[in-house]
Amino acid sequence: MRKVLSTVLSLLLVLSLFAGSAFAASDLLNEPGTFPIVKEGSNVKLTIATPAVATVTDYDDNHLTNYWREKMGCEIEIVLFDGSEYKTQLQLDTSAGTRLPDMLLNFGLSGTERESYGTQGYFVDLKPYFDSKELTYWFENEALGYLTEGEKAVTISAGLSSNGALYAFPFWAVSVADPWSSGMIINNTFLEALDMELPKTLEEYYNYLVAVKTQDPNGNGIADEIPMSGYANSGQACVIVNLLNSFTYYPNTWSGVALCATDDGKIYVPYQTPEFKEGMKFIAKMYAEGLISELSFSQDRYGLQAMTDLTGDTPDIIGSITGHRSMMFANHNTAERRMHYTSMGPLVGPEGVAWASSYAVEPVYKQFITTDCENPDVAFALIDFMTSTHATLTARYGREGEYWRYATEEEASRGSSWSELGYTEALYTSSWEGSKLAWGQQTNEIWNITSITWQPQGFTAVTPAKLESEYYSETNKYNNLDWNSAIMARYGQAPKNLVGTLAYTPEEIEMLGTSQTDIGSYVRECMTRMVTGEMDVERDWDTFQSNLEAMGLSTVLSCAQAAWDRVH
Amino acid sequence: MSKSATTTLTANKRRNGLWKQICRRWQLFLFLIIPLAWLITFCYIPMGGVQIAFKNYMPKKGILGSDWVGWTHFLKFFNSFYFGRTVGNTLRISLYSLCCSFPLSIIFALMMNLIINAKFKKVVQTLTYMPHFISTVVLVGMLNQMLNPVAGLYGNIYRLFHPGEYPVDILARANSFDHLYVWSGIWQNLGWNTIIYMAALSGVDPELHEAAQIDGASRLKRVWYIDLPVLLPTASIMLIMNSGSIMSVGFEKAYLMQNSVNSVYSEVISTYVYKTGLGGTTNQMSYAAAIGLFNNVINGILLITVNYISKKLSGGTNSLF
Repeated sequence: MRKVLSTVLSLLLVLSLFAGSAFAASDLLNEPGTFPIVKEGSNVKLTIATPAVATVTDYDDNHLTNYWREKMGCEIEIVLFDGSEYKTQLQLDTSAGTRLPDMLLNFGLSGTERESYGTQGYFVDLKPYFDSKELTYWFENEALGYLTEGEKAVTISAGLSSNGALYAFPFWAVSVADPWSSGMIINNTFLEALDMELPKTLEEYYNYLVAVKTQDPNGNGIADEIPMSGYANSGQACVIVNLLNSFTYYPNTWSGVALCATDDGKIYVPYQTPEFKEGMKFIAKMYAEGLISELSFSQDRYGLQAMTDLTGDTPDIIGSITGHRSMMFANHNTAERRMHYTSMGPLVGPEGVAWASSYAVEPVYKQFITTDCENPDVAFALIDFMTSTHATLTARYGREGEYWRYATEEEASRGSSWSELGYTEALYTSSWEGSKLAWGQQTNEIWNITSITWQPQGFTAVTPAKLESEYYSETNKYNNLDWNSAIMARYGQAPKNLVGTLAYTPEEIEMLGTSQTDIGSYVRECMTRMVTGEMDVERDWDTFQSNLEAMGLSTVLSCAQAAWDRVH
Repeated sequence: MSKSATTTLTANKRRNGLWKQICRRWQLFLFLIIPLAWLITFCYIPMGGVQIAFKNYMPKKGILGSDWVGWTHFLKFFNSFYFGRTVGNTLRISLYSLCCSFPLSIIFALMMNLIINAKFKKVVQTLTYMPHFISTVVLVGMLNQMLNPVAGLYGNIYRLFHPGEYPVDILARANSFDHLYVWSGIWQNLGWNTIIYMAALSGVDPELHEAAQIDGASRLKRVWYIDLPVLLPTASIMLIMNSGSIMSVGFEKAYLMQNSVNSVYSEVISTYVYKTGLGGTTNQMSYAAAIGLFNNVINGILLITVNYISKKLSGGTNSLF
């Protein structure tokens, strides 16, 4: 009995080997760059799994799905996974031995998970495709053109597992503004009332906050002004992180270890430096003087919104906030008080330091081809096609002509709205309806995910500069211009080397253990307590450092250094 | 026939009798299969997974295939910075909560029992049950909103008396965490917790009260000498059950209420298990499982101890087993 069973099993195993390589690419696919991508009569079918997005009303009768079907010339079937429990579902499917769909789109697996599934043989290693360049037509000819040299260098390398395999297709989905959206926003009506200029240095900012506290800039006769506030549990809105960047670079992260790298590639953490210490003393002093609201450490974004998104005769109460403009108002394009607030660039600290809190911009690795796929070449050709400009815009906004179009000659001559950052060309523009779809409206036009679009910073930047007449209101215009000028002021104001995701070996992962989690939350806690005065920067410094050491900081640093050196 | 043979026979007879009864009412017992299957599938089978606490769990190798590492994870936890803090916080919050909510719900049940107007009683009951159905996320959201010193109810009331000023931000005070946690819990569950006592009280024989009234016992005397003794068995069972969960402070609420100011007080075992096991950058399933197991073993020991004490004190009547 046992013998029969093992014979059958091994036979199946051998057969499955053939199943994966039934056809050579040339048999199934037309010349690269021509449509349909799959040869007629090939009778190929792809099954695509994706976590269901609530705003998408129909995946099967969906414009994007049909668009892929048309361009590919093959049948596409959609398998929906649960929107939030898709990882568990995948785990169950693999452990039960269920046949996986051919492709997994938008599966947000961590580097460790990718490597785990990949080495277990569930995902196809895509590295050979990129090495041979046979099927990477759109990737090579269109997609790579939007990347800077630096971005090109990390596109493949940042997604490699420690065994050198690439288990997911890299995509970029980040706007010009995203990494630079952390900083201070100031109340310009207060500035005017106090007859002060927009602060450029930390000292001027400090003086402004003191004036807000003492000189009743809202003119209602009572000292109800709150000089400065952020909100809790967010790196972007953290007052400490934002102020620290006038002393030492501190990345825009809430829970992480905040690894940084010097220009010559040495990994360090800011909270061991004397500059950090100086910064913390200054911020603690500000807090003690009542310039930083304690709400910064307890309220959520809606608490902040309640202070800023005011209407009618209610006087403004807040002098300055840290965070993103969209957190201040229910709708920052129409808010009554939007024009009261000016977004600022980095503040110059006492030693001349003026960083903008940012992070390493990296591709996302969320597109997988499973080893159960009978025609991995066809699946790869589809993902490659998704990186093309036309497919990207269709996936982001919907059909051409209705929701987006290529820029007209006149628009192209205006140049991009980010021309000051070196993005000179204007390529496409989306309609208001298209933008609404992209920001999550109920639809069967698109899939409403950005991870299947090729939108690096260089791509989001190539929309034409707007004409005065194109803004639908003064607030809308102000909102755009104010934000853009702040982004310009912050753009690139970060160290040359930013530490992103590091690929650790299994041995390193074991050495790291819980260190990163422990240190991350401990540092946040101590930073807050140093500011609120529960800990003293000088007195408790040694305890702080020795606790970090006990949690394994030096192991974290050495592992990170090793992982960094492997790639750079 | 020897004595032992007789006992076996009666035992057999009894077993046969039970079997016969089951056969006669087999449709009823059929219903048991569903909960039984549930219990086995979701409570007993997963217990096998506890072994990962003693292993270095790698998803690739599976639960059975991972390497044994003995007590490594436990020792690591005992030596870690967070051991003292999480255990201390868990015990403090849990005991504080138990000490307040346990007697309060008994007192509340007794008070409700004294209400004569049936309509009023129903209204009070319904109103106090209601918060129980609010989800934790919403409850914490309500706390945040109401206690906001600028925009919240608390701040607005304060400003009626002190125009233009803002009160102290309670949520940004680390040591207020315990009180907020416990008293919001009591507000939410007090009514619900009284249900079982109300049920016990409704079982009191009215003749006892009549007799006591004839003997001239006052209202309070009747509560003290009739109602309370009736509640005692239920109360002790509830205490035993509660002591079995002293080491488990609910994860959601502590996690949702956590911020960097109060984390010294609010980091409990369950939130730490979540952070290291699932929320962290590197998933330490085995480590988290070890902490969870440690937690449950202590809970088990507490349960058995309190059960034992209760059994001794009550002479064997008030105990779970």
